[in-house]
Amino acid sequence: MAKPGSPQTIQRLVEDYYEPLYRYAYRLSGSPVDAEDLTQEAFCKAQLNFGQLRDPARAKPWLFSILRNAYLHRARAERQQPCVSLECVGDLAEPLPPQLPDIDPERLQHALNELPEAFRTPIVLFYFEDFGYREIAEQMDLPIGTVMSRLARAKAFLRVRLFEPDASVLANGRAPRRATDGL
Amino acid sequence: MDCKTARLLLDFARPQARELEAEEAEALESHLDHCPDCHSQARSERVFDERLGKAMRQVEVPAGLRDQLLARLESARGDWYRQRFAHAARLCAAAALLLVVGWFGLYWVREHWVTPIDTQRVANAIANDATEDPKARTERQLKALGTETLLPIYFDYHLLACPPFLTELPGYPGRMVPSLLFVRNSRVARVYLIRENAIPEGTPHAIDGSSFKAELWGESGEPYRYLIIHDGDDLDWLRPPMPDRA
Repeated sequence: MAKPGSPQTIQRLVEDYYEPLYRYAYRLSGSPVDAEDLTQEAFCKAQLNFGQLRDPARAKPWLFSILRNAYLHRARAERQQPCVSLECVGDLAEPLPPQLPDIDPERLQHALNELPEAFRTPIVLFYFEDFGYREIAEQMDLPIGTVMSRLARAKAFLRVRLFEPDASVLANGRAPRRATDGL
Repeated sequence: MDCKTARLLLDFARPQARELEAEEAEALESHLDHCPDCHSQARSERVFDERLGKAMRQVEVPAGLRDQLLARLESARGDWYRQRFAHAARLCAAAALLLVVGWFGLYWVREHWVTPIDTQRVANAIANDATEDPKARTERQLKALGTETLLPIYFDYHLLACPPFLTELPGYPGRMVPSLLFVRNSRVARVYLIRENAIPEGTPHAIDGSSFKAELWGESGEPYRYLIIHDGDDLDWLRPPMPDRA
């Protein structure tokens, strides 16, 4: 049992990363309560295992990785993941109208909740916390090509879900008209 | 750069993605400047990315979360030290228990443990006793010392404390004679073998009123006489047991 990080070090970690970590947890779990719990759990684990952090510059991906593992652990225990299948979603970008409206964050969350975790995590990391493909690949322990493919498919799904008037068809597992055309 | 390559590179060219080389990024930008279709595609992609990124970041962080986290971490830290203390206490208790058990074990061993028996030695002793009469053995040992004689039967040779040895005759410095040491309980008798023809003049037949007593055993005509110096009242104990007493 390694000695936990010093109070000053941990406090600095909290100061620097509690907001992005909470936001990440919220986007992953879709629940403010779960997001708080996950953030707490991640910091507690980080405090206990602080010795594992060799390079302080890698604190952010390290914390995000801890949080994701905590989330996956919970998700496996709960086994409640009502997700759509992305088999019907292609990964080619469809042309969008030049004047896009702002996206409602709550609607975005609903759409994210429908994505399987394997697609949700990369897209949240990519758009939300400025992680590059390589960093996401390291975070998820996946080849970079897989990350790109998942990002493209998740993005295609979100386009349909957020900007298509009859996007509810996705939830029924039927192919959207535009996202899968020609795939 | 053609349109197909440009559209593939668009994924890498997003502000967050740092995978594109500077030369590739420059070539892509150059293509976008001259290709209206790709330019439009890139613009719509960037607008979408901007909208999605903005919405993604719009998560309200609870006001008291920071303090709540710090309090929880402080508490968890206390728990960690308490667990460590409890762990150390358990280790100490286990060590103390081991010490107590070890001490009692040692005590028991000291009290009850039978000293291991050298079976070979016992076997040799039994074999010697069984195969060789102590009188005959003593005669053999005396022969090894240079004194060949048949010992008298009025000594109980089972009482010999050690093999015969050469020692100085008391009162006659430098005169070495064979000697036998008999011991029974706290009584001791030393027997000096003196040749009949070499008994020094003045050798006491008996000494009374002294801390020790001397007696001269043996009959005239025997090759040796036996000067016995002892510390008791009598020498009956030195004689072999009678058959009815055995």
